[in-house]
Amino acid sequence: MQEVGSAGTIAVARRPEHRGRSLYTQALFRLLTQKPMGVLGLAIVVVLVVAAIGAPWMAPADPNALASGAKLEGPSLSHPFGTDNLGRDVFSRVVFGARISMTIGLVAVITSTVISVAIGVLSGFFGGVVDLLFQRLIDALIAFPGLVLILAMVAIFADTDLPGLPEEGAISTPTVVLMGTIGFLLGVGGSRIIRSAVLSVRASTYVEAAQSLGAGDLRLMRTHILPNVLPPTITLATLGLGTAILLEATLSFLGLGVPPNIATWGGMLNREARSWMTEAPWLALFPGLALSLAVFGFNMLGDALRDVLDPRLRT
Amino acid sequence: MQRYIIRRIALVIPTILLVMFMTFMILRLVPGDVVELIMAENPYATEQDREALRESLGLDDPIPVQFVRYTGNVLQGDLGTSPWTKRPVTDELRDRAPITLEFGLLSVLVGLVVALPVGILSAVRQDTWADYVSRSFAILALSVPYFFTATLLVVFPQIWFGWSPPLRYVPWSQGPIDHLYYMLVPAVLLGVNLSGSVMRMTRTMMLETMRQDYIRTAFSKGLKERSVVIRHALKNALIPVVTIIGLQIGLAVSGTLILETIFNMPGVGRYFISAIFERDYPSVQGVVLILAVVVVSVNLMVDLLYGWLDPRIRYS
Repeated sequence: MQEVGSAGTIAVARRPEHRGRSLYTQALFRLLTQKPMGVLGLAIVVVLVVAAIGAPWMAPADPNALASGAKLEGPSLSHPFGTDNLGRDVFSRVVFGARISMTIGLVAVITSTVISVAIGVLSGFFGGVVDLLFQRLIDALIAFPGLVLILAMVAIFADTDLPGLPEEGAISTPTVVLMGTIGFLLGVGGSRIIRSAVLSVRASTYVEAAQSLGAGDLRLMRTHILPNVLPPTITLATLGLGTAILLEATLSFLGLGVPPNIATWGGMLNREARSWMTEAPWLALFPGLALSLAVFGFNMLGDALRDVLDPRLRT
Repeated sequence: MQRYIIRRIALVIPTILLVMFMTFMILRLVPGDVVELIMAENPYATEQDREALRESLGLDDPIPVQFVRYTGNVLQGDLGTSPWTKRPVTDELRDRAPITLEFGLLSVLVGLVVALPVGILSAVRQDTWADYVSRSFAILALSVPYFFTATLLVVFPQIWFGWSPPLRYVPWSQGPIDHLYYMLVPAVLLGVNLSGSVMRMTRTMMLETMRQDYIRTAFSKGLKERSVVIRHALKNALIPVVTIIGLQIGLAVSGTLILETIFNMPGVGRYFISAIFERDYPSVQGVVLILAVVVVSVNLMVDLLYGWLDPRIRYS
């Protein structure tokens, strides 16, 4: 099994083949039969989605409920991951943490997908000055350490409330700023890959044929360009979710980003774990494991998707 | 080559200007008024005080004038003064940058020392258990966040052996051995994290190179595997790996921010994080600019090195 390219190189898809099953059914089939690590990644992702959606039913307790007399208890049957310094059930907090991570990751990735496809298609399709301007801007942004930009943005908006947002909770100014900035960064980075996909489709003879038959720019984009950039977009979004979750956790670990009254994996690793870790190591262990598994899952699934969606590797 | 170098250096100038404009706008983008923010500390501030502060910050001039002045100051090495500590940002950076630089370089070094041999072994022994172990290690290095491994490393050795890594910074002047002992744990943590992508890149490039005709020729000449790998394959396979090191600088910078906070290292990263908590905008601005210049320069050097190592590469 040859690994083609590492992070950063997502091979460009060419025209989907229309024999029998669709490209995506074939890809899924190949993923399930030939990519055991991809299947493992998919399984982890499914568990995460189920936990995120079903958190209120799956978690045995309210993540913020304080159980008196049960502080800093080790893992037991009633509290599988133990309890924290306030007597809160760590398992419930980890499950609800999945909900926050997935929400932030998903919104960030939707934002990044819109940005990367918009920039990538415009830049790759029209070329010329548009392309040049975008590429120079992206050069500057890619060179920049992402975490520093996110931290700077969170700092700028720390004392304000964006209009139309609730004052606290999972969707409030700090989380929206966080999701927006992560989405923007991932989108700018991903636009390079979308652009190269567009360039290769743009140069193909069937696009030339459609053009000579009188197809306009919009029609070309809709019927040829967009369907062909879908495979790299899917791969990018999957890998992006892992990165977004990791970035959110990093920010929460530093005590920035998601407000501290909400249970997040990064926040649990920072506050509860760092104050009580020698007495109660499970406070650090379980949120950290959940986070590592989530990032691992999206990385594995993304890598496998890149392989199965790349027609050049298909045998 | 000369034209390539000139063109590549010319590209750096707009990039740096853009970063300067972005960091300049940070202060102006702050919703609300910076003056109000600083004055909020002082409940007895009068309208005159506000005006005086506004003038001293130069905020009463038009924005283009402010930008030209800011650029001029930066070119003269003046990054502003922290409104809280009244210390020039350049002074803070001068004290702290060497620590962060040392930490970053040590981490990149650890990363390469781990990644290159393992990556090569993984490729040369493709699909053996050594390959599987190496690749799993690379994936783990990429997936497990270092702030988690750092937390584990502080907790579990303490419980099991009563030992924990030193969390108090020791300057080189107070004992080189204690200093290195302190630096070792954070550098290994960050280095292992950085090694993941280098290892994967090394493996991929080695695999590709080992399939080339000239490698087959070398083998059929009767050369030993050892000399084929080291003298023929490695040189060519490592060229693209150089670019990964450029990409790593950004990651290393992010890593120093977090690990300096965990290990109480008095470097630029911890300074940046506390500046953010204290709403110390000139410091935030200064650090962002310096980090950007460092990252852009390293990438420039890597690109030039790449062009020199591989004469086929010429950007147009």
